[in-house]
Amino acid sequence: MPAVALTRTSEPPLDELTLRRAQRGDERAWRALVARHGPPVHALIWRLLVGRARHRVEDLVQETFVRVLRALPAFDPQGAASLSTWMLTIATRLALNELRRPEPQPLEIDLEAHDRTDGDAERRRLGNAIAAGVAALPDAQRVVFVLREYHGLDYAELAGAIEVDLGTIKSRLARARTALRAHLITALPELGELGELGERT
Amino acid sequence: MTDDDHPLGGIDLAAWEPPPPPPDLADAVMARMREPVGAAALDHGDGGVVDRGPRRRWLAGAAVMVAAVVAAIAIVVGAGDRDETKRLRAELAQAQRQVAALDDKLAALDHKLAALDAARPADVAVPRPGGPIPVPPPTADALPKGCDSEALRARGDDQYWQGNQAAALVAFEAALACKPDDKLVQRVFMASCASMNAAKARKYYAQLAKDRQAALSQVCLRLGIDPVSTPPHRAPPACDRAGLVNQGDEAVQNGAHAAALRSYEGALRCRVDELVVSKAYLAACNGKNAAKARDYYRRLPAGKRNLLSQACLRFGIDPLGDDQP
Repeated sequence: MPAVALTRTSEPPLDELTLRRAQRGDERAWRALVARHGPPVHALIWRLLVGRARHRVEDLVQETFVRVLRALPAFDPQGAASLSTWMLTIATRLALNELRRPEPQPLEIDLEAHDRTDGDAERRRLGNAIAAGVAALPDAQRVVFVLREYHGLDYAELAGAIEVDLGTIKSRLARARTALRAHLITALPELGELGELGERT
Repeated sequence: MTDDDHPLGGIDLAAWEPPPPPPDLADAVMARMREPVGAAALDHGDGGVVDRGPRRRWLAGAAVMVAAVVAAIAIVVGAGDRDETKRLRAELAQAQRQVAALDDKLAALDHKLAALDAARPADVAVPRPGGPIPVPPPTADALPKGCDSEALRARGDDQYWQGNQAAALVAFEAALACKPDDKLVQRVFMASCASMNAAKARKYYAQLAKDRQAALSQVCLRLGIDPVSTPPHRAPPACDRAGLVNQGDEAVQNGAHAAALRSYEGALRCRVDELVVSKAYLAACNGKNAAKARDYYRRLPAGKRNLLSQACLRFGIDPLGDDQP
């Protein structure tokens, strides 16, 4: 049962004419493409780099689009991957490269980094707890988890995006969910009391 | 495909909401698209540009030498003999073609190197516990002249992000000597930890703002340096269990699991509580403290053990194992 609230974007895909113009190098079409796909690409990289390398998010988002636009003429809209999955794949690989880099600690630690001024406090607490739990996941599990839960990629798309077999995808996803669940139960015990996260073995 | 038996059922994962992308994203991408491909590839992403100076200079020097030899022959032989002049002109043209070919080869090599550099992560040398410091600290001559705190700080930032933490420390200390500033103290402390300089880490830890000490101490602790002789989280005189638990939760949010564990242990000394035992166990797992993780695992309620065992296993700690190495 896909009980998790997916944040897969509901906006329609880029229309065919705009895509063709973008493939021919039309700057207005490029801008339309960036405007349409900027939020999911930004969200993906922002989530994958949670807990580290946040200063690189904007650079990587730009780099993703630069690579996308340069490779766009060769993109086949009728191919196996949709445009958005293809972009998310490029973004994922860039983020994974970034995560493999040894990173010095940030010079200025923002102790209130997770605090947002908008929204209600409970939702913010939940968001912070999820962020901390996802940050604690190993990179390989985090990628699968974020792509699946927040970008709605199916197992086959996930396997293609990170070039591992379906069995590995499933086991990584299961481990990630179990670890996050354990983290949430501890961080927010009221979830268990409310029955939202009951005991499982 | 569907997800069977989703263990996060009912949880609103969308509560973890990213900020919107910057409004000028499209402008920034268009600006980068207008850059030449080579220039973009040469950029490592952290502002660093690959230095191909020696290679380029060597090839350029070789080309100049070829041309110079041909020119010297022309001067020595003189232009008296027309046939000789023709021959020399032909040789000169050939040499020029060789120079052009070398130039093409140089450009091709540059592109190959750029592609290789773009494909692999930059080699940022980060000192490891017990490892050597990658770059010796610069002498005072290498630092900006005069007492320009901003320039010194910028220099230190550059060095730090290039992985030259010892050099960064020297620059930050010079900046701090120019103009004392809380953020500079933090930089000096971070660079002390990163460069494995325990003495300086302790010295500057004491100068950090009190509310930052606990979080920042983790930077050093992760590298095997304890910047404090006494634990940063001491139990208040009265047994403030709730305060200690909050302190621990806050430390977890900051990734300071060792500090969190200390706080939870303080809370448990006030009163043993099932939830705090769970928190202490998870902090021990996240902080890779195997002995404590096993200790708290044994104290977990039986119903939670199976579920929470994963938290340690993913860090390579078997909570059911014994404490023997």
